[in-house]
Amino acid sequence: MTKPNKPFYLEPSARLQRFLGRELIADPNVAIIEFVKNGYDAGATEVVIEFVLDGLEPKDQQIIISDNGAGMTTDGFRRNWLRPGYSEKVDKRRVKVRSSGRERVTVGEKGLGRLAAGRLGERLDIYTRRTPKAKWLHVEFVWADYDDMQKSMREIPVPYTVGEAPPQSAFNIGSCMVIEDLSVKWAGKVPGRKVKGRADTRLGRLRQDLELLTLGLDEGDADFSVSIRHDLSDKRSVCGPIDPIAAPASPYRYEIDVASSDEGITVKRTIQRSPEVTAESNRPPREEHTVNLEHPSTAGTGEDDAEDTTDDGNPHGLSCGPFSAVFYYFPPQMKTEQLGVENGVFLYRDGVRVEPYGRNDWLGIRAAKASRQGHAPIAPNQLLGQIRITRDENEALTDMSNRQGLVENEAFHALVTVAQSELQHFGDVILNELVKPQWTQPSDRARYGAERTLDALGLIVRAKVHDLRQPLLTVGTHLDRLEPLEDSSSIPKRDRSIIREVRTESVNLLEFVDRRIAELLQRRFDMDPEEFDVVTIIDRVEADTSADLQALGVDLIRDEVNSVKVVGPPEALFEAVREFVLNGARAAAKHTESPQVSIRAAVRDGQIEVVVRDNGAGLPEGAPDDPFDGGWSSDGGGGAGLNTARELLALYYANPTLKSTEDGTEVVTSFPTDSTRRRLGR
Amino acid sequence: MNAASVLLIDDNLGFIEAASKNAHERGLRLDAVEDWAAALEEFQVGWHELVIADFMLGDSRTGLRLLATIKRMRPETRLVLISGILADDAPAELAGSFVDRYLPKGPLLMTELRAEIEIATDIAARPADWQKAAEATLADEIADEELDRIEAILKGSRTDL
Repeated sequence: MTKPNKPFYLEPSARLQRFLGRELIADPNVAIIEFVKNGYDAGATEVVIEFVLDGLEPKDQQIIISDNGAGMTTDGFRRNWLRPGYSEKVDKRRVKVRSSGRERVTVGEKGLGRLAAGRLGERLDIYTRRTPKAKWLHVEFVWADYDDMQKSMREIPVPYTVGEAPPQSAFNIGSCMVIEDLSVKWAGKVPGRKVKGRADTRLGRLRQDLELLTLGLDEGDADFSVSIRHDLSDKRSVCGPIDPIAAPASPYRYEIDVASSDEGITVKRTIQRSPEVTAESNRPPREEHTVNLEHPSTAGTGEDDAEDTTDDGNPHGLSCGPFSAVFYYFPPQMKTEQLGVENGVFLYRDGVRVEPYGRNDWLGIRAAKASRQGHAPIAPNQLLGQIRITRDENEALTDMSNRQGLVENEAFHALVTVAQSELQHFGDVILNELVKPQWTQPSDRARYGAERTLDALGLIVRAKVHDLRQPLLTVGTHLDRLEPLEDSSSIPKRDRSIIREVRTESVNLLEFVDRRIAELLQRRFDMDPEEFDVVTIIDRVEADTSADLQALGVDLIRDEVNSVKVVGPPEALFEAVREFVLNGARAAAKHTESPQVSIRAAVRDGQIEVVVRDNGAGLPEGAPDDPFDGGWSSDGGGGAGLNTARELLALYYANPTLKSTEDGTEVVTSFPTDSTRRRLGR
Repeated sequence: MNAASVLLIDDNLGFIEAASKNAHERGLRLDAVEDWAAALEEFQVGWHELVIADFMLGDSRTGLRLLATIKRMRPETRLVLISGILADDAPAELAGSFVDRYLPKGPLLMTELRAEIEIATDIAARPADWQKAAEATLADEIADEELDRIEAILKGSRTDL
């Protein structure tokens, strides 16, 4: 019988710290939040994050994160902190909050968050003690010491002292992390483009992320607060305690409790309506009913509900475990940015946010709107939501170690599917109560028809032009193979000349087609309505048409452009006004040596008017009664552009008119003053 | 002086076939592959002076990250990012710290790429830092916060295709 060999043992290289610390977490805000969560799990009521930055080189800058939680003894530190991957919280899922004694469910479980310090800076000093009378334990980490691949992790000494107090800590107990030699520039703005809804500065973005860290709305943890301090001169809106987001004033609040039952999946749905919506919809301010997603025939109390749950089907069982959620809907004129509300559906476990769900449209709201067009009234920027899970009841929903989200398993799929199904139901409620009543007017029907057509058209056009571009590239690459032959002495001169001509002409045509394709790909087809200033559209049209107008020798004149606000999809107005300007420019260029197009945007007799005039030949004899009907244009070309422009303006309930003037043609677009009111159903 | 060797990564088979024929007929050395793994294998063998990658590779990783990874292996390599779907001229501005040039995929791409080959030709003569290359080869994929950010912006700015 063979004697068994002495077994092997894994011995992690010291360099593993680099991968688990410095290179595992991409976002430095996530690394800071890991320490805030550690304080939360230590039963702290307060965490203070202090940045010492002003006038210092990065190596001298500091981040000091202090909490008034339970702190650690030397033995506890050795047993827990010094063993990456070990977490007492796996077995001990609850801690007592220091001041109140209330129980709190812990959020960490991987034992890796502590290593995130390496993402923030090259050096970490930890100070911790459990009581004011105990001596501080001070432990030092210099992460560069762990870069030696030849050494194992246990060969790197971790120096510590007992009795040395932190140089500055917000509290006289708990833990204080001092991170130095910072790897990220925290002062000033984040480089690159602005991100809609996000602060310009790193500290501002950190504050935004911390505002979302705990549940907020109407169910936040009153026993926990986070503050930011820094020494930079501009302290506006960043320094100070951070309040979780408050429950916003919204016309609709939709709350669900999802659970397994003998019948399948049971959803308790509660809809709350604002007083205005209650009055206008003739519905009660609060409705509550329970539906079963597997047996739609038993569902709901109303006709609409039964119809909706039939569509819901059975979303793959509830392998994720029970969960609850709350959603707030904001109509187009209630911009979430102006309300100080981030939009998105955020995920919370035991009251603490699970990154990165929220801003990333993980429930596919935009795609749902695109596929159902006008029948899906909720756009991503019109929704705030929170989905709430717990460690105890949703064990299959586990975090990935890099904090990039949950492991995508069957349970996660079930969570997403049920949430999407419920959002569809919420959208149907809004559609039936808020949107459909507006469809009785012919102009409204036209508007929604146009919206559906444009949404679908945008997707189809982009898909088709992308398909076209790939073979164009290949054709261009093949044509390029002919170029060496144009100078080949083995080919007769006449043939070389033909090859050159064919190649040059073909390349020119390919370039023309490719430019048009590039234009289509760059054009945004975002048809989400919003309130905006017409001046911004005229600015865009002026910039966009300048090259074409210059080629035609046409001057664009701003006759009178005042700041006026309209509600609708900005892209639709841009396309329509651009069409009027180019149409007028072509007509003027054919008629006069000093061609001009002028734009006016102003309020006339209480109506918003956008007027585009040209000094062309005007409408000729025999022009149709309705020049927008297609097949005709004032420049003598095809009229498809004018027809499209009118379709686009239907999205604003606006109806353009085109007529001859003393010296050319004039297109007047009047926006009904009540369009805002009507689209909101008020 | 020998012309620079070129590595092209693109999952459009029609294009890489046409580009390979084009290069062969002009006496240029061009290796063309379709995905990330093949690209790294090919680069470690061919040590190319010019690497051209499409933004979206077939396995949902980006050519930008691939080029950044190759840059770490051989910093002097000239790197060109190409794309037919990025929505505007943002790539040139944003990707500038990771690649030498961004080119939209248009019919004249080969003309532009020949100019790139000219530029890359003198790189062949430069000595290689083999130690740095060996270290970089150990990590398959570069981790970089700025790269994550730019990649996310570019993915967000492309059309929904």
